[in-house]
Amino acid sequence: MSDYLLREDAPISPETWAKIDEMVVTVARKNLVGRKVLEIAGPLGWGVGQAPIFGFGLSDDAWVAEAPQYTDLKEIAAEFTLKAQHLAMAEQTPYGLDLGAVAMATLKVTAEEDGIVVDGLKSKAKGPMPLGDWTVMGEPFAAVAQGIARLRKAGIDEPYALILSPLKYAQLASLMQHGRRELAMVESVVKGGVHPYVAMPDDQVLLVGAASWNADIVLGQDIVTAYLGNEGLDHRFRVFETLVLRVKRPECVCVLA
Amino acid sequence: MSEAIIALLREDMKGEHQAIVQYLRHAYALGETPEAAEIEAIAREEMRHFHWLADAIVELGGDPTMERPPVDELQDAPSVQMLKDADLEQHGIDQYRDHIERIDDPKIRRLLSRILHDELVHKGEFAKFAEELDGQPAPAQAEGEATGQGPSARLAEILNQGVRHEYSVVLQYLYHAFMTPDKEPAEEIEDIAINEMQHLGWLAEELFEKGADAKFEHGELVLSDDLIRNLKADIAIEREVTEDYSEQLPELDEEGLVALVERIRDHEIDHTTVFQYLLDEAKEKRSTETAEPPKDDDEPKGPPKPPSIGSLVSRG
Repeated sequence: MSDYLLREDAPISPETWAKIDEMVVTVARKNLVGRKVLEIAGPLGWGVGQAPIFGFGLSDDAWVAEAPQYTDLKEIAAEFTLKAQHLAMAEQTPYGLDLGAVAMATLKVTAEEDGIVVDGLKSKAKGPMPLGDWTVMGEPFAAVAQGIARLRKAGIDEPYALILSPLKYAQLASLMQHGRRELAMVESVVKGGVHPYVAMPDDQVLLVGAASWNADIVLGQDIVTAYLGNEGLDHRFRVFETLVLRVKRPECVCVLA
Repeated sequence: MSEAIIALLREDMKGEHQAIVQYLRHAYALGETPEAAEIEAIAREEMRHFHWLADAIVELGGDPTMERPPVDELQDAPSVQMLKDADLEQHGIDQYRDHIERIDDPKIRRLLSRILHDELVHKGEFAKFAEELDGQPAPAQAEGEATGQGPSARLAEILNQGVRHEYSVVLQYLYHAFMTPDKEPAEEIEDIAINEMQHLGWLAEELFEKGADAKFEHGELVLSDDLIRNLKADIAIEREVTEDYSEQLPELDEEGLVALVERIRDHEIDHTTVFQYLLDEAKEKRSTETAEPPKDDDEPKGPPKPPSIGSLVSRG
């Protein structure tokens, strides 16, 4: 795998590579939202270009997977440069190598991944169902409970997950009355978690039946850093991955708006 | 003559190691009881004996041993376990008396006499515990098997993987500390070994509380007298176990257990940083001493394998 990524050609030490990889993993783990909601199939490898999506139907009174449709995995990437002067400074001074550029590139990739996952889920959603006023105690729980009722009626069971904007999350978290916290009540019925997502509009909340048979994310190449080569004395890298969202049962998504 | 003494002291080390593991298992099986706390205190005294013997062997130019004979299988009632511990102490007492007779070196004789005194006291304490625990039934894991309670097979597997790792690194790091002549790195490595002993205790106690057995088995150990080689091995194993704990976290349901494993995992990340610092210092020192760049035959020539982020789902 490293051969394809040209990592051995980069004129940086294994320790520097380890720090770059650790930065990428840390930033990705902190910022990814979709992967906290949906299960992952893979990583299957960079060479895998398509993933099957199976439908299911009854045949002779038995449930069976129907012929799959194949969908392409998308490659998303962002690049960063390490300047030779900064590499020299890291070796010759106690300051170390600033990996902010690595973090920025990783943030761009994670934002794009979450865009694919969350927008993909939204595009399949039926609804919307009423959102209510999330500044009033009891209304968020009522809205979520009604959303869950719709999902259950469509045959979608637990776990459920909620994706909402940071503002909506703040509104939910600030509601408390007589020692009862609205967030705790919502979390008691949404076992897949309540997940703030920066790109979510403030007037929408997404409720998802998060079991892997409803929807998942197929990873070809998980987020990784490759070496692109030098530009003069400086060195360019690419943070990238390949993935596709599979929504197997569109009825697993409900928008509250 | 030194070689003969070293051989006897290595036998003593094996005995101390056996006692430490056996007593800790008995203590964990007793749960949160006054006797368990006292048995753990005895185990800590055996750890001091283990350390003193290792230091004596290294001073004589020898190689401490990390081997030990098998320990008690926890199938008996607690009072019988205490009698077995008393028997183990008696075996140690007989061995130390024999070795004192056979060794001329006055410093070593003083050391063994000091240890012998402790073992005599321990034997008395175990006899007392046997009386105090008389009538108590056999350990909880037997009950767990009978009632069907106890952890899931997968949870027991995860916790025992942790116990195996922690036990392995305790032995490996102690050996490295014993064999490092420089005080600063030796103390740092020993501090980390003590932290790993804490991890071992936490995980073993979780298993016993849940009605399962903590298997004190270790994996392959890297035991050399080359500090740079040892530190590279220590960094590698810390990175491997950090990854293992991170991958296992999503499988844990209990909030307290998740917090515990996260705490252990974060300690392992700190250890990697300390080992890396010690390695950099050791390489610099060696290059200064030899006036040649250090040979990195063992160091991988290319970049490390990139880690995978994978799933971040936490179903709890």
